[in-house]
Formats: sequence, structure tokens, C-alpha cells
Amino acid sequence: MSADTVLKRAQVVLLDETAHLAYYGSTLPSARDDEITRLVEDYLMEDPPERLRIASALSDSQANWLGTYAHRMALLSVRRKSPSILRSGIAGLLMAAKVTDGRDSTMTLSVLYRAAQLLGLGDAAFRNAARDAPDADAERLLLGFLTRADPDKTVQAMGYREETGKNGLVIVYGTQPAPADW
Amino acid sequence: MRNRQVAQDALAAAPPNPRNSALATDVFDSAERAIAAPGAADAITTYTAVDATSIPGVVASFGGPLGQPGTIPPQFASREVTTVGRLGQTGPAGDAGERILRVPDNSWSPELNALWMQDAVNRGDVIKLATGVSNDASSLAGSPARGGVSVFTRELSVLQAAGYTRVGDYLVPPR
Repeated sequence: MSADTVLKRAQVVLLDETAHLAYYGSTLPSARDDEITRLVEDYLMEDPPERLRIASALSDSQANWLGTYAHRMALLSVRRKSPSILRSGIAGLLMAAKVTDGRDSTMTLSVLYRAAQLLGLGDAAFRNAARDAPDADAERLLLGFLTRADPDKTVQAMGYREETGKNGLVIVYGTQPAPADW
Repeated sequence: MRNRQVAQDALAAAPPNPRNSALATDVFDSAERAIAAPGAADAITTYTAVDATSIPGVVASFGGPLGQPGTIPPQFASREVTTVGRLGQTGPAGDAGERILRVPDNSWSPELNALWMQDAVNRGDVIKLATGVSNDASSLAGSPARGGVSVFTRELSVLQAAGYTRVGDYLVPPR
């Protein structure tokens, strides 16, 4: 599969903003999650120059979708006790990292890091995922998170709250309610 | 602030870059000034409370692409100019000598960002936009998982709360 093919699939899988809110609040997991996971897997199959080309060509909207995907996979990985699901979420964030404002990425990294802690993986989850980065800058963003002061790694420091919902782990921003389908 | 030491350690570990060091020092100095001044807590609250429902108001206050006609009004000519936008756009501005928020990623926090913005308000800085203001993912809209807004929107909300208005590609204080 070529980078162009991956980018064409991204246009199909990562829809426009009108569908984004519905995706965010949909059941964990959803059919869309599975499609995005396959997209991320296709990205990972490419060699580094093509990964960089894919990551650089994403639209802002597509990058936002991947940020939402990463957040959802963080929650799902803990609910399913699945390091591989967490790895997909981290890869999704890295795929979006060339386009996403690094500050926004850092917020989502706190959620992924929390999931790594709850899975008992610790820092190793990020170190092992570093090779999925499209370039050195994205890798630095990921691994740099590990060097934050401990209080600044928490989801609470980024404005999130953590709860236990009817289906397991829930992390939501600020005072917004957790989606009912979570 | 503990983040200052984290930032210094990160800068020391990286290839020497006096510009980055100077910008980071400026950010932390700003945050410490803001903490000591009135309005710090409100700025942090404003910054963190922003969600997608805030976007229409921010667009009403500051909306429009870059390249708008108008320049800094003469009564603000002596004010410091601080450049604000998404990091992809402020980066080149900072490299060109403009005052931006730049700290090592591992030392950035929402609180630091809010305080840096509030210090600019406290000083009456003129804000130069590096990113157009629009209700879409290139500007204000963010992942719903992050509250539905970008960090850029949060920064603009602090300025909106302080009564800033747009003139050309600048945001100017109320006085």
C-alpha cells in the first residue's frame, strides 16, 4: 500500500467535523474505531519517509479525528486490559502530531500515559511506541512527556477528570458530562 | 515554578539555542509576574473552562482570516507586541524575532499558558495574530476529547475576557 492510498483511505475514514462529535460520543468500541485502527495499521506498514509524508499531508480536521481516536483507545485499552489497543492509540496520536498543535497533543498524551499506568506498563508503553513516530520531532514530543514533573503528567493537570463509568474507565475534559454511550 | 527547572534541564540537554532559552525564560518570568498580580486565578479558570460553545463568541470578537486591513492604533504604538496562534504558525514568527510562547514541550502546561496570556493582558500588550480566527479545525475547533477547542481558542478567550478587540491582524487592549 502506498502513502497516497493511505491518504485516500483517510479521507473516507476520517470524516468531516459534522460527524466528529457523534464519533467522540459513540460506544466504545465502535465500527469507526475499527476503521481508524486499520488506517493506523496501514500507516505503520509504510517505511519512515512515507509515514512522514502521510503525517504531513493530513488535514487539521483529520488530525483532530486521530486525537479523538487516541483518547478513545486509551480508555478502551484499560477496559479491555489491552496493551495493543493502547499502542494503536499512541500511534494515532503520533500520526497526527505533525499537524496538531503540540500543546493539544500533550493534553492527549496525559490520557494515554494514564492508561499506560493503569495497564501496569508505565513509561515502557511510550518508549516502545517511539518507533511509530513519523519523525524525530514527534518522537521527542512523545518521549519528552516522560520527563515532565510527575504532577504535570496527570490528566488532572491537563484539565481532565477521571471517573469509573458503567463500562469502566472514563476520562473527560473539564466539567463536560461523559458521553452516555461510554 | 517547577516547570522552569524542567525547561532549563531540557534546554541544557538540547543543542545550544540562545533564542529558545531567551523565549523560555521570558515565558516563565511572565507566568511568575502574573501569579503575583490580580487576575491570575480568573485567567486560569477562563482558559480551562472554554468549550465549543465559546467559539461563536470568539469568532464574533476576533473572527476573520489574516491579512485584514488595519494597523496598531497610535495610542498603542509603544506597547510590547506578543504573537499568538497555533504553534505551527507562531514558531516561524518566534524564529523571526517576535515574542511568542515557546518552552520545551515537557514544561508546557495549561496553567503556564494561561498565566503567560494573563501577563500580556496585565501589561496591556498588543497581540499579533499568527493564525486566522475561524470556526474550523485550522483555528478554533479541536477534538471533542479536548473540550472541542484548540489551545489557541483558550488563549483568545483570556483576551476576550479582558476586553481586547481586533484591528487588522492585531488584538488591542481596551485601554
